[in-house]
Amino acid sequence: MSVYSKYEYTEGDRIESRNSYFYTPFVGTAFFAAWEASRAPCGLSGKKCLTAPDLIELNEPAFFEMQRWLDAWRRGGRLDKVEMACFYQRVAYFEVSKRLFADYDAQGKPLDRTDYQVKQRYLNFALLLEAAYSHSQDLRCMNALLKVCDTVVSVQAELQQRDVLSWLMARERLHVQGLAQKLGVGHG
Amino acid sequence: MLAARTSRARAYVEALVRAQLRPECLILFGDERCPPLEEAPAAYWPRHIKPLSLQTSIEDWAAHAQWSIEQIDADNVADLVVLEVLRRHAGKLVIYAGAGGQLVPAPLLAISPFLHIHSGFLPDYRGSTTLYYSLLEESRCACTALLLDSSIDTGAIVSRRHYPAPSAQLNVDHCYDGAIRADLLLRVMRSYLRHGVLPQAKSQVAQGRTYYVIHPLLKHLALLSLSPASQSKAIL
Repeated sequence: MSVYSKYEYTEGDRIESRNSYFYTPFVGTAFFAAWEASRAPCGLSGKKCLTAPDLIELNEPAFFEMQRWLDAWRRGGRLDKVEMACFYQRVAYFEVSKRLFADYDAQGKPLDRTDYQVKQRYLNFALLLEAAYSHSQDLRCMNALLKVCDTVVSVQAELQQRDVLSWLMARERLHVQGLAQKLGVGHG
Repeated sequence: MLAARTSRARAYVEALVRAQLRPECLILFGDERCPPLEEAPAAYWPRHIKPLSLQTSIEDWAAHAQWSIEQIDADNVADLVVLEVLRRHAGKLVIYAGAGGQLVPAPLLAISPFLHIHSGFLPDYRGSTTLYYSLLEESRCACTALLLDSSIDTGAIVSRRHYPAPSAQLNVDHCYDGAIRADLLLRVMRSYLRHGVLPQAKSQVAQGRTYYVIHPLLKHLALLSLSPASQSKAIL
């Protein structure tokens, strides 16, 4: 397998220039080293971080719903059917658009399609997806988490919340290692 | 048969020709999207999955088998010319092998039922790249034959079948995925020819889950979890 060193999914501003994950090439275990290297600027120290950080406060409806869901999962609780449907509606919209918005209508469409640049919103969504995956082991959450982390890493130089970034990257890595172990895959 | 020039369509055509089955007409659109592939040795294939060579183009297979073929200048199934041509050829059933990411528009679906083979067990695995999610969650694959409706992977189910995980040496995207879809297509078409109708299609009532394009990290985990052919867990 050829040497693979360039992890392209965190290059440039991935909020503006959105990733496409269609038909990604298979390059073997070298992929994981490149993926880990892409996270290095976020100060991944490999140490265990015991305290889950709070969301970054934003004065917008999306923040309040994320806060509600995060609180439920971190308390070990569950969301009711309606809230779960709403959560997965947000995940679906992010998966298709790779963007996050301040507020959405009842059909899950953003009220203002131009308001997607708030970088802290992506960090918050990553924290939420991490909690959702920790709670459920649902691969849909893991998939979206990896993508939003790509976005967050691509703009990490503009984020001041270095401790939150570091914690998030450590948790992402832990989940990947857990999944690899479960599948019997050693990725170095 | 309505097909884009993809590796999936190439698998369907090869399988149908080898089984001596032919559609009334093959309507072909889109640019060539099938990358050059090395033929996988028979030993790489799980038992009961007929190996496909995938070395011959769709046009060459169709010519070899003397199929009626109409090639149209369209990149997308939603292009107006596709509608015009399909109306002219309106048949009892359309075998559909489109390009990923393109939705069949309602006016096309109104002409004839569209038979689509999805590489996921519905309704549990709706959406995109579901073969990989199935490998990660269940260590096996599946296909579902369904009649398309206006939403994604929600149409009435004609048939479903599980398939073993491929060996590590098989190209999943362009080889195994098409081969298992072609296998289920042949089973459904043989039943159709025997009985004159498709098996009774059942509406999907269960909730189901929709998956989105898999992140390359998860794709790598899925592919690296596969066993080499000599240790294949192929059981069917």
